[in-house]
Amino acid sequence: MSFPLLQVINLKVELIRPESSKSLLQEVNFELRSQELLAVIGESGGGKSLLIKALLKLLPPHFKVSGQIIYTDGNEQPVDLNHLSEKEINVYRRRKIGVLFQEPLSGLNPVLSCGTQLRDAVAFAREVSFAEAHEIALNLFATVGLLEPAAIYCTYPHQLSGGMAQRVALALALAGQPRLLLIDEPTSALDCIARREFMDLIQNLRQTQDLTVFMVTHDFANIAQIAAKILVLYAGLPVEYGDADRLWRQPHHPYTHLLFTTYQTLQKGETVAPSSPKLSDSASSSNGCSFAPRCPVVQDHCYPNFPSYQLLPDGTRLYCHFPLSP
Amino acid sequence: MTRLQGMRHSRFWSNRNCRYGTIIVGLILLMAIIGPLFAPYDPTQQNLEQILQPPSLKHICGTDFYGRDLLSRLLHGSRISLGVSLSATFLTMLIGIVLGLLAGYFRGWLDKFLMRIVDILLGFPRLFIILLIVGISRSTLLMTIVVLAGFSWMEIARLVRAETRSILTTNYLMAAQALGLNHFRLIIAYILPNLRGMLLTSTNLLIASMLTIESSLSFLGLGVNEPNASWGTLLSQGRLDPTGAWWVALFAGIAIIITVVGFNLLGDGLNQIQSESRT
Repeated sequence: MSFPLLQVINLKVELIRPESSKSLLQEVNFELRSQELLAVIGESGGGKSLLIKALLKLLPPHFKVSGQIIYTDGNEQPVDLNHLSEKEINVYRRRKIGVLFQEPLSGLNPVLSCGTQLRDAVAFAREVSFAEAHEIALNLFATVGLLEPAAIYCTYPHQLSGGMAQRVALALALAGQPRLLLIDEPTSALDCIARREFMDLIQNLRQTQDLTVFMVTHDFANIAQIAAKILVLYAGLPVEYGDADRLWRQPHHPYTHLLFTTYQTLQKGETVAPSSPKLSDSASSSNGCSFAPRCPVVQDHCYPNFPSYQLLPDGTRLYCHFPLSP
Repeated sequence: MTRLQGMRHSRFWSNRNCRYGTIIVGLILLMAIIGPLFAPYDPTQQNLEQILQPPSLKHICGTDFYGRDLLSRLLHGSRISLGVSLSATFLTMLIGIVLGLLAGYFRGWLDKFLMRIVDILLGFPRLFIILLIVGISRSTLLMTIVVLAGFSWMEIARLVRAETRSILTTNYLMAAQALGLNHFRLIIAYILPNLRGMLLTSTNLLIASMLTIESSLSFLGLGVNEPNASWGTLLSQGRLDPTGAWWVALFAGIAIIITVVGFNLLGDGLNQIQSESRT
């Protein structure tokens, strides 16, 4: 039975500086139901990785995170992760939520063998002895598709290939048998075969381990088939959020449309003219809609007014004055 | 795994500084440990008929103003010189690592507080303040060790703090935090092992500088008490008649130089290996 595992309400992340503060993410609202896969797409610098770190309270103190991150585990009371103390959230980091960061190799401690790291994490999260954790660690290495668990156990991170490091990092993320797995651009460093294998592995884990997945990705084509919902981030604002199927077939927001058509053009082998101005310029240059400077269907009304949010009948959330074919 | 250790081993030996440093340090340590057993005479036995004998077959390093055999005094002195500098180094590293980790890891007011103490202590000229304290208090070996460490831990604390802060920004530390490991485990398994190389280098360099300071102190008559002698004491006795009885100062001086060079070579070599592996 499906229930809302994670609900994010009005999440806002600000960078606090002594003289000014800058809003990096705003009005992020989404709901992740258990066993579903939610994909976050958008271009670099849009705040996708920041969102993952904000969900786990991993940002340094000069980032201010406001809003609610409500986690429920079926029969447990809902908890707002954003208002937990460091000690309280550690329980969730250990047992409930796993995370796989971008560039998996840099996420591994270079001076400990892979097995030691996984054993520590397992022993810590599941509160078992090192001997038991050792067995569990070997099983986990096998679960993520590493062929020789015993050999991997003694290997140091610098001896791994990119794909292996990815799997070791995934095993680490699964150390505490989490319900929710956050993945940050897992496929950007892999070729298309390894990419396919990795997605199959995730699909497999979702079924066998009862995992709910929150995935930041650029891999539109694969994700549209397996994701339930898609969240499109542009300059820190979730410009469109809705059912993956509908969004892929018929995007409402001009940005989503542009993203998908660009992708399809590239798939055909044609070249695409770079969009100008750059994201950083466009986001700060206007006080209206942040996408206005690049928008193909921009109108005068877009510039001074920040678009308010619209909730369409099918549950789609949209920030646009003039949505395409609603 | 064994192949990896083998590689590191050969890289250690193929570095010239490391090789010679290890040999010198090894021999010096051997001399301190088993040397006194082979001392031909009692180092405190005075023999007034044999004062200021130049080096001969009977007294290989000659004798001093009281007719004591200098080779025996040198061998026994090595225990004191090395003992003091090694234990002072150990204490320095202990204080420096603990305070540096606390400051770097927890940041905030603790960091500010500790670093201001470091700034204040670094403001004093080290040798003079140590001289002052050892001079006005009852000068014992333990006191010397404590004072040496008390005024040397600041550089180590600064190094450890800086390195800790840079490790805090790495992805693997964030990944470990995301796994919910507690502070103790993060420090023990993630930060300390990554400081290993840097600490190894600075330990060796620190031993060399401790030996120099200890020798300076005993040269000035502080620290070790007669009739025991460290190398610095022997050196200072040679000052009374440097041209006539040159052997009194010469052999102690050579021993100090060789030891300092040995530890410095080892420290430099380790540093070279690490910067090679980083690039």
